[in-house]
Amino acid sequence: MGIRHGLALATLVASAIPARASPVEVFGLTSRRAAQANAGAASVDDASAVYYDPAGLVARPALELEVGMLGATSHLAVGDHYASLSDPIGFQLAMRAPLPITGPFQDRIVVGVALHLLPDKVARFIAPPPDQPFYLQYGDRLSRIVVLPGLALQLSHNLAIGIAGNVLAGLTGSITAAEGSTRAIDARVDERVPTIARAIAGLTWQPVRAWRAALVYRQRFEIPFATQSTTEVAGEPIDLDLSASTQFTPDEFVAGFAWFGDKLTASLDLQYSLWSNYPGPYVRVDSALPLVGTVPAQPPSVPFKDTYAVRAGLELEAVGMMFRGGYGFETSPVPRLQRGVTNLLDGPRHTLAVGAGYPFELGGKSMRLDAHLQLQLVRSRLITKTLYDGSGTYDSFGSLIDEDANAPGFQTSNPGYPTLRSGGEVVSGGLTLEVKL
Amino acid sequence: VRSLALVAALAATAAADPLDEVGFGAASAGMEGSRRAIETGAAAVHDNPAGVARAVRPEVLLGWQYSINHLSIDDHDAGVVDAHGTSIGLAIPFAVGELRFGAGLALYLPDQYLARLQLTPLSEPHFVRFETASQRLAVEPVAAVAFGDFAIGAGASVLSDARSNELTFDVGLIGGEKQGTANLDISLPTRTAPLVGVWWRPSPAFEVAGTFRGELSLDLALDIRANVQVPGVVTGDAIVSLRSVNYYTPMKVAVAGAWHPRDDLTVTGDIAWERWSALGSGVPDLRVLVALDIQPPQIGTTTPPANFHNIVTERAGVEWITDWAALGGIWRLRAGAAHMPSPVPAQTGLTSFADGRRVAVSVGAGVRFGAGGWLSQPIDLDAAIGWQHVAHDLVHKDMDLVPGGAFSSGGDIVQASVSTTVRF
Repeated sequence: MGIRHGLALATLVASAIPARASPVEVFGLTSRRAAQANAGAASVDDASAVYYDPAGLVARPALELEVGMLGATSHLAVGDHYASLSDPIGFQLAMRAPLPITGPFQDRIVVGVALHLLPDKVARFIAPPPDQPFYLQYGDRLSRIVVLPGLALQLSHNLAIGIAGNVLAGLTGSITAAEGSTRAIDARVDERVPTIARAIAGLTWQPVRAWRAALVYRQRFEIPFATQSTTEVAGEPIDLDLSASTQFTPDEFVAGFAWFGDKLTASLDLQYSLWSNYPGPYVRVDSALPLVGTVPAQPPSVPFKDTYAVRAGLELEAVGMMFRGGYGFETSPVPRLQRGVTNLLDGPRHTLAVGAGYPFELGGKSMRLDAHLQLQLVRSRLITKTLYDGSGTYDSFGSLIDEDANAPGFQTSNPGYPTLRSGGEVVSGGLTLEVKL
Repeated sequence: VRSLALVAALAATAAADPLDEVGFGAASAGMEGSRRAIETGAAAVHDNPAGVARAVRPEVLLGWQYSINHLSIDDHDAGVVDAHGTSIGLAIPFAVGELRFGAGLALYLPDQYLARLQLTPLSEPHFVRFETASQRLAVEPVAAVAFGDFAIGAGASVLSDARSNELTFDVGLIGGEKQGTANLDISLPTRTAPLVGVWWRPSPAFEVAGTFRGELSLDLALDIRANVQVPGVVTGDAIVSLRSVNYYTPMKVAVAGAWHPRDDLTVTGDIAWERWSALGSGVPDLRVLVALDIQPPQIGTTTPPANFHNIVTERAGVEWITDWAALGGIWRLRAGAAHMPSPVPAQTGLTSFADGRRVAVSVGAGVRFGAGGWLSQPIDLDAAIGWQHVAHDLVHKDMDLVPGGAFSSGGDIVQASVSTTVRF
């Protein structure tokens, strides 16, 4: 082992990005759904339907408001150390209302909106260097607000459709600077924050009172970051064009089934996610620097895999309360073998959840206070590196290359060399108050 | 290794709140934003948060507006793009005994961008208050309480900064080849400014109101660093650092009144003081620090303060209500006028901020379809058009600073808006 590797180990703790995750996609929207391990595409019948299945907005239509908060903590390993969550607290707000019309369309058109808000920021976009240990599923996906407006229409007595938007903003633009007529720098900046909106569409079919089925499609969502910095100093270019896709969520397809008994509701969701289209979390750079010239910065090509998930939830009404529980399992999009420069940390995930709801009346209005706890177990993995043997074309994903062939031994600064262990637990919990207005 | 710092002066963007520019809902636009003393429900969230508690039912306002900019500099199109966007308002009232409470939210979503940060060189004439005035998101959550003929509300106007925690490009030799890797960490931290409003009805014929809004801006801080370690060729750093204050929205204090000489007639007035002088220098900068093996060719420059003036704007409006049963509902006809001086001082020095005194007039109409028939609750439909004239101005530069320099500016802005208020 060379000197550089020793330095890499010493800086591992500092370089490991704290774990973060998408609040709604990973931990759920409202305590009622989170307590069922985020299952319920077919059973959802409140304002949280804008995410789980927009068509569910029109199930049991009512004017209602849901306000809640969510907290999470992690125990995720990065080698011998642990990553913590940097945005562990979020606030959730969801509302739906039937349009105030009578006649044949009464209670058949419902609008809704759901928000997940962070205490101190709108969003944080992270694209790590390729060798940085990084929990992909938790990366920067917790660190953004979520805005989901939606609309549902009851087409017939047993068929409903709905559509919602997943809305946020990106950051693109340019900075141009060069010597002006007065020898001062003439600079021009045009940075834009474009609206990013992607669709969530749902279809619900209830052939009999006791059974309901749902199909949901969530469009791929990502936040683009691109800045083109073009500067000229003493005739020398300093050009840095950076671009990245952050906050990525792939195209998702969900089939949901629900059974409704007198006191018990059971939900089952099957999900397929197109992670194989993911370009990766890394920054792409085109550059020209003084004396250096152009430098390639093509990030490694990671063969991400499509994922499968199954989620099941139960909701039982007893002794004047609601009791809930759920289990979910999802495969990992990250390849288990990462012999080269990348250190993407992930593994198959098991989710266990429990919760309860207490209905009551206050000020003449019906309310319900829901609480939940959720445990996510990320299965342990061991990343083992392979050294490039000089044969064939070098592939940075397939092996590590000696960074200084003139020094004795194998020289690398990769923090995953020779091995890196990952896996652990994430615990979340929350409260939601539902008010029928 | 030598280092060099270069400072470039750029012009900041300064603008009134986009909802002040385009109006929050067509009823407000039709009276040139002079409804502060009479606004209730979702439409009141922006104009006067106290009015949210005066809503009778939960309601949603949905509106869309378009501004056509005909602004010129030196008799050429100034390149100020047309602005258009969607307004969304929400008010949820509830009562506990004699007290009436309300929570509300106002959103303005520009169609093209949530925000656009456009900075031009200081010496280049440009409309400092219009270039991006209506091109930013506005988010205003509020809460209010009312008791009898008095109401008070408070909330925040929320915006975000854009800040790079890390934006690094490392260049080195790996296996004898030049290789680069990059690292990006951008944060959009929240910024807020307080909103406070009060409303009082001393008699059935009079209503008065007052509002306060704090100062707000979108600050951009991007540091792009290139670390170069190519032994035998060059070793060092190059840093491109951008700092700018955008969408500077000044602190504003407003008082307003409404007089109802008849049951079907309302006359409104509104006076607002805007503290533009707090803009400070108003000049962001771009710095290039080069610590590579090249000669320092340039030096930094300093930039003059903006020296903007505080201003007082005046607005007035009138609304006439009539029941035209033949046209299906209760109609409201509206008109308004406003005078808005410019906070920009004479641009005789290095800066070339184009601006001018504005006068504005508007007309509008609305109809309320009452509950019954196919409606379970009343629905309002409103529309308005307005015209603003930006006074023509010819600036001659100080001969000692910019010999022979001069520019002219002025133009017109035409605005149209439609909105509906739905109650649940």
